[in-house]
Amino acid sequence: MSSNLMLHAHNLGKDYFIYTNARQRLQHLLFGLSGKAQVFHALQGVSFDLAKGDSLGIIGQNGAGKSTLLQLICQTVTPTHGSLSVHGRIAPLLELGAGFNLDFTGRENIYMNAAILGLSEAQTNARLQSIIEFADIGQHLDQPVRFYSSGMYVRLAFAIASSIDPQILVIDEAISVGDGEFARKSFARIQELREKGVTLLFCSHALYQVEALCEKALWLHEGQVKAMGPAAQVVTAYREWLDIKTRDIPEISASKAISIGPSSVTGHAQIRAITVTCDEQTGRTLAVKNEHSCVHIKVEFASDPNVPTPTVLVIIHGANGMDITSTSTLMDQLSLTRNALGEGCATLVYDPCYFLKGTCYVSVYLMCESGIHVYEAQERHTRLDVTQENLALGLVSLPHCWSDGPL
Amino acid sequence: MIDKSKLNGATIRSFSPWVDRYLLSKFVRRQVQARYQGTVLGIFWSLLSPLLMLAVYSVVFRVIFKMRWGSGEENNLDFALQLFAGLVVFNFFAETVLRAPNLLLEQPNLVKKLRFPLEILAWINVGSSLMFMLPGLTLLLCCVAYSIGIFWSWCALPIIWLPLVIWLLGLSWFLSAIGIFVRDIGQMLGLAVSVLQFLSPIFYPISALPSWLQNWVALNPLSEVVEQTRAALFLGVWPSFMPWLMEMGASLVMASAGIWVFTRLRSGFADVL
Repeated sequence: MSSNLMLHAHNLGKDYFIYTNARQRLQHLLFGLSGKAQVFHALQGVSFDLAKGDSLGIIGQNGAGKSTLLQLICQTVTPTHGSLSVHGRIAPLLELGAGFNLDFTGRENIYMNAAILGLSEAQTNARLQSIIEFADIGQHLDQPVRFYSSGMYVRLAFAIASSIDPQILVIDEAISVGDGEFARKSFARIQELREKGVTLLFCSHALYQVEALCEKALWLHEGQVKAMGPAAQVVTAYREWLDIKTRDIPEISASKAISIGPSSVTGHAQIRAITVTCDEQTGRTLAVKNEHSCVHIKVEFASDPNVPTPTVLVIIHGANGMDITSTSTLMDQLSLTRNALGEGCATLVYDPCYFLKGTCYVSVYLMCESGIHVYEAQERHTRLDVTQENLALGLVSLPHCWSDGPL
Repeated sequence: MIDKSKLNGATIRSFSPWVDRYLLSKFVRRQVQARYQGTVLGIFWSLLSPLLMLAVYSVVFRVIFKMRWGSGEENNLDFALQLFAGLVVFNFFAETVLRAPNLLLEQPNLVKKLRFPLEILAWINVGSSLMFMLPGLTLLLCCVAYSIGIFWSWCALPIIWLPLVIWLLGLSWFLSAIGIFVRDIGQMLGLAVSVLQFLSPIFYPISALPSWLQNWVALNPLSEVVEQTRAALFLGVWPSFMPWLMEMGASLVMASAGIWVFTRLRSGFADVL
């Protein structure tokens, strides 16, 4: 193991057990009886090495396991799997001002917080002036922290936490709070620490910050590592993936907001039924044969007759969430017909279907006439398990022809 | 990295207060300050409240129930001092125990957001209780010195209390860890402490009990401490070695049990809070 190695995580994982009652949990912890506890895998199989001066950004959606990973690194949470070794003093900025006592003055809290972070009284005295200068809270320093504005609170907390000469700095979106001037100052402080050779772990939703501060990035998705590598590459991949997702997110929330009930479609439209049929078989999971099967996707909808006729979009996703293909009535310039009640139906036919071996999912969107607003989304409605006879690689086979020699 | 789920030398060391003594002293000071922050009378409250309770108990037991402590001559002050000696010890005990289940519950940030040596919370608990005890103890010693005299055996008081302190440390580790998972502990303790106040020789000497009951009350770890405290305070009697040793042994068992439970449950703290 090189002497420069600061953090070594091997196959790190955290399971949360979901217990029906506290007694069960207690028994499990005390005597190791597992009982019938349900397991939630918050984080699985994370491995990395960080040397002195390395910086790792952690990105991913809410609930992807970012905070769990940071807590594991700060050792406030015990890993269920794998091992972690830390060589050096960690400054955990999981939550700024976490150790503050509201009834005490800023000055008293400096000593208290510094003690919690591992400084002696003499060390705190030596840093007091620079902490006070950096926090820049003027005469409020000798007032109880209770009366601080949130900006002052965060400034003081960051000033203390970044003054303890950490060897590893762990930041969980802490500095996104505070005004612009302070944010600039704290980034300058982080850069300064980095130049001194501090190892940085930084978790943020602000991707440009991750790119600016970190050399490497780790992308977590549903508790697993989706990508790890140079920050620019990982961030780009995440951004592309996110673009697809963010297109979906308002759609999901829109569908929830709109689905008032089957009878009320005033001003709106909704999906009544989706029927996917493959070779006379109907269901939510279908077996499909490449270039042989015929897939029908029938979308029945209801709409307010006063709104323009909606359009239907169908997306076929791969198992990893990547889009394979999509098509819509708008793109194909098909205007649907509705009855007097505003009910209508659209059927998409793939005959034969060209998907190659693997699993893919059918998502259906009912959208406005211009394809911007989403009335309702049914994501991953049907699963298609595709098999093929030949050994062709890829996602789809395209209609093609060969010629023997030049055309 | 220390594997804190197993009991070994490193774990035991982390339960001693020495490594984090600076943090410990800061926290004890903070506890004491926090209690009286913003109050007008400040530290005098820890004198006033036991004195007030003492007055009430004295009136009830002495004036209304016409209780007597010993068989010889005794005035009202003698009686009150006997009560006071018991109350000083008992209040120290009650305060520590009642706070114990909330030690971790009240500080989720220390558990989840910071790297903090959680073991020292028990030391902080016992340490600050000792601080709160000091004004009352000083007053008690002054009164005894005035009405009876000063004895060399007073020097033995810290030794008499040592088993109790160790016992309370163990209890603090135990209760603070369990308290996170079983929230009823706080309620149960309130009840247990009130009951114990009457099952301990606070308002009566243990000799006033019928002999079959004496043995049972003696099982209460407080009994021996209270009785020895009184003997050292008023009669100049040094504690006898064997009972003290047994107390000490029991306390060390309690402390080990507390450490064991605390280390076992520790990995679950952050998951529950």
